Parts: sequence; C-alpha cells; structure tokens
Amino acid sequence: MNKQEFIAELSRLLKVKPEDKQSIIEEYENYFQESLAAGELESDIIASLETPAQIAQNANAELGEDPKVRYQENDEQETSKEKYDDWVDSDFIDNLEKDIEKAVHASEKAVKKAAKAIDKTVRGIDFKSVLDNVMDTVDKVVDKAASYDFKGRVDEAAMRFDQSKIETYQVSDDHLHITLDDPNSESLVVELVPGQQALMVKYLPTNLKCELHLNNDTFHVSIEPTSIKFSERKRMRIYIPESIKTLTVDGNCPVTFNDVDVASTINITSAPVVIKKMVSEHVTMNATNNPITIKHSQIDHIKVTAMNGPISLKDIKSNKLQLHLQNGPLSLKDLRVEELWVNGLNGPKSLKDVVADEITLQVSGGPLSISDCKAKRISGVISGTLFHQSNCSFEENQLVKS
Amino acid sequence: MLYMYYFILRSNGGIVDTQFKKGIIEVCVLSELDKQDTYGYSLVKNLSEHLDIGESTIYTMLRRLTNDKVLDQYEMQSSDGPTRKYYRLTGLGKERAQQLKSDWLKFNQKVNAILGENHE
Repeated sequence: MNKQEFIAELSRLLKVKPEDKQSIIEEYENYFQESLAAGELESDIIASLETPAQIAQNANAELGEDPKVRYQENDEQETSKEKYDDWVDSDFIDNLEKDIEKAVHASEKAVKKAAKAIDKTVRGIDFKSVLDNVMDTVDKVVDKAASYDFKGRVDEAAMRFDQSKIETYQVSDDHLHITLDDPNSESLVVELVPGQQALMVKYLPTNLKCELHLNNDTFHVSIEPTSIKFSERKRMRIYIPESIKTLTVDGNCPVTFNDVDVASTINITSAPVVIKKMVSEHVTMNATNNPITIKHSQIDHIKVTAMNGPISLKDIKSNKLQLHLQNGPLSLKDLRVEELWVNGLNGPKSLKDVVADEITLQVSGGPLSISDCKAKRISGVISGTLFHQSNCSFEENQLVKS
Repeated sequence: MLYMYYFILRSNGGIVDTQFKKGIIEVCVLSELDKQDTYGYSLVKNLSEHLDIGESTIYTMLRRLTNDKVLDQYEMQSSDGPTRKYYRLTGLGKERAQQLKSDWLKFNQKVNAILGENHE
C-alpha cells in the first residue's frame, strides 16, 4: 500500500460528515507531508500509522456517521446551505448581530431622547440646552456607528471559509463591477484600495493565483467564481488598478474604501460602508439599514439614498451633495460644498461647520440642529420638527417653517 | 472529571479503559494547546511519545473538540514545509482546559492518597 492507496482507502471507509471527513483526510495528508519532509520513508510512515480500517472505525464511532453518507454513498453532493451552517461560527455571527443591534439600539435611544426633549420643550423647559444635549448624543451615536468597520472583529474570529463562493467580478474596459453574493457575506469585510498594474485580490488561499494582468487596458482573465476558496480570513482586500475609472459594488457585507480614485456606485443593503480619503467625480450610494461614513474625501457629486442610516459625513469637499433618507440620524460636519440638498423624514439631523453656496432642506420630523454654518442661500421647508439654529450666517434665508 | 473517577474504579479493561484513556487524552490535548497553539502532526508526535495511543484517537478528538467549539483552527504557512492547520483554544476551550486540569490534579491527589494508604 502506498500513500495514495492509504488515503483512498481511508476516504472510502470514513462515513462521517463530509466536513469531518475532509478534516481527517487533511490531517493524514499533512502527517505524510511532515514525515516525508523529515526524511522518513513512505512505507515506514504507513507502518507507523494505524490502518485505514482502524482509523475509520475509530472516527465513525467517535464523530458519528452521517446518515446521508450511509444511504447515498456515491453521492458526494450536499446542499451548500448545510455546509455553511456547519462552518460558520454561529457565536461570531451572533456577536456581530449584537453589535449591529447595539448600534441600532443606540440610535433608537437617541431618537427617544429627542422625543423626550420635545416633551420637555413643550412644557417650556430650557429648549436650547436640551437640544444641544440631544445633538451631542446623536453625534456620539453616529461616530460610534461609523467606527464599526468590523476589521478587528473579523480578524479575531477564526472561521472556516472553505468552499465558500467568491463574489463575482466583471471587468469591462474601465469599469469594475463587484457583486458580493457570498451567503456568508454579512460578515465578510471587503477593503478596496488602489493598486498598481493589476486587479489583485488578497487574503485568498495561496493555492490560487488570482492576479489579473492588464493587457492593452483590457482585462482578459476572469476569476472562476466557484474555483476560489476563502481560507481563514473573512476579509478580502481588492487592489484596483489605476485604469479602473468606475466601480460598482453590490452586496450585503461591510465594505471599506480606502483612498480610491474612481467613480463609484455602491449598493449595500445592510452592512456598514466606510469611505475614507476618496477622490472621485461621482459616488452614488443606495442603502437601507447600514451605517454610512464618508470622511476626508473630495467627491464632485455625492448622492446617498438610505432608509435608516445612521449617516455621517465629515470633512468633505463636494460640488453637489444630495442626501435622501427616511429615518436614521444624520450628522454633517465640516463640509465645503456648492450645493447641499437634504431630504429627510424622521431622525435627528445635525449640520455643523458647513460652508455652502446653496443649502436646500426638506425636513419633516426629528430635531434639526444647524450651527456654525455659512451659505449664500438657504431654502426649503421644515415641518413638524424641533429646530435649532445658532451662529449661522445666511445671506439669503428662504427657509420656511410650518 | 468525576466520570474518570467512576471509570477507574470500575476499570477492568475493555470499553471502560478506553473511556478513561480518552479523558486523559483530552486533558493532555487541552493542556498542550493551553501552552501554545499547535498543529495536528506536532501534537500527535508529542503525545504519542508519552501515551500509548494511536494517532487517529488524537485526530478524531481534535475534530470533535472543534465541532464542540472548544477549539478552532487557522492556517499558517511554515517557513519550509506545507501549510499547517493550527488548533487553538477558544474562550470555552480555555475554561474547559482549566477545569479539567484542576479536576485531574484533585483526582490524582485523591488516588495518590488512597495508594499511599494501601502501601502503609
């Protein structure tokens, strides 16, 4: 019997669950590798090991036979869903969900606090200090939510990611389209950073070459979606070559953009999005419940459509900034914009240190605080909301309160 | 760890002996991993030097403990050889290691006391 026969026999006799089987086979293969590297002969190694029958008997008894394997011995197929359930560390997912809940809970708290503030105001209690307090709380909540880029969490968690499907990439001319459709993607962090010559995907197993080279400015190689396996890390870094001018990201996992110089469309429905130091002509973002943070960026046109936020924008230079959100807290700080357009329903909103040519606000519900802002013209309608303004200068003020 | 005591009292070979051994191996595996993360091959080599057990007992135990979330795994490339799958204790594993170790030491003391009496 040689090594190959040994492994084949073991594989045939093991009746445990596929993931248990894979693990045991891997250990034995590794045993061979290590022993061979130490100079042992294959025949000696096999003699020193238990027989495949003994190993299988032991493992089958100890780990439990998989009924599916027993009845469909030749059917190696199984649903991927079951596999994921086995491999994903449910504690980690739980914790992650708890963290998200905490962030959401904190913003709800802020909204409740705001409601309390309204009550108090109605009763004639010091309006300004209460509102200031509320806005402070909101800022804190937004900042906290914004810091959830999950990097630390993801690195700490050691998870099996084998046989997970990769997201898909489409590259046409200068447009890169990334779809994050991994079933586990809710806890996968994707980091997009500028690269050099080629599109590179990092933190994937070493056995896979995933470097795509440029040829006449066009990508000719595509990644086979099913051929990529994640190993331990649930974190992926994608280097984007300079020739990519447009980037579309669809999915549900936290995404961080660092220093990327492209026009982007981001459709992320329930995970945090963090954009830092982006220089771009155009960023469009569609989101439902995720914290969105854009910081230290220069983007000609930003358009954010969101259901619940929270949304935090800090230190932004932009020509046109359009924000449309339903509920979440919104914090705008240190903006230099030509046109700022905010359309929002509920949830506290705060504008601080905003310098603009034109500000348009369509706000109903939720306290609104504007401080230290300058604009040539401010207009719009504010209804049914607590409104506080301090230290602002507007050359032309056509803001209607109803 | 009480079950160990139970088993050793009834130990007269066969399955009881096996169970007892498994308990000891588990303490040893967890205690090795408590010292440092290690990979399967190294663990097998270390433990089989001291204990008379087949490697499959250790491999299946590692797998079972991983399934029980007492251990988790990560891969690391060795400088010269293949990628190694390291095992480490989870939070749960650390607690369990401490518990089993202290149970074992206490149990050992009691047995020693009994053996001591018998000698006198």
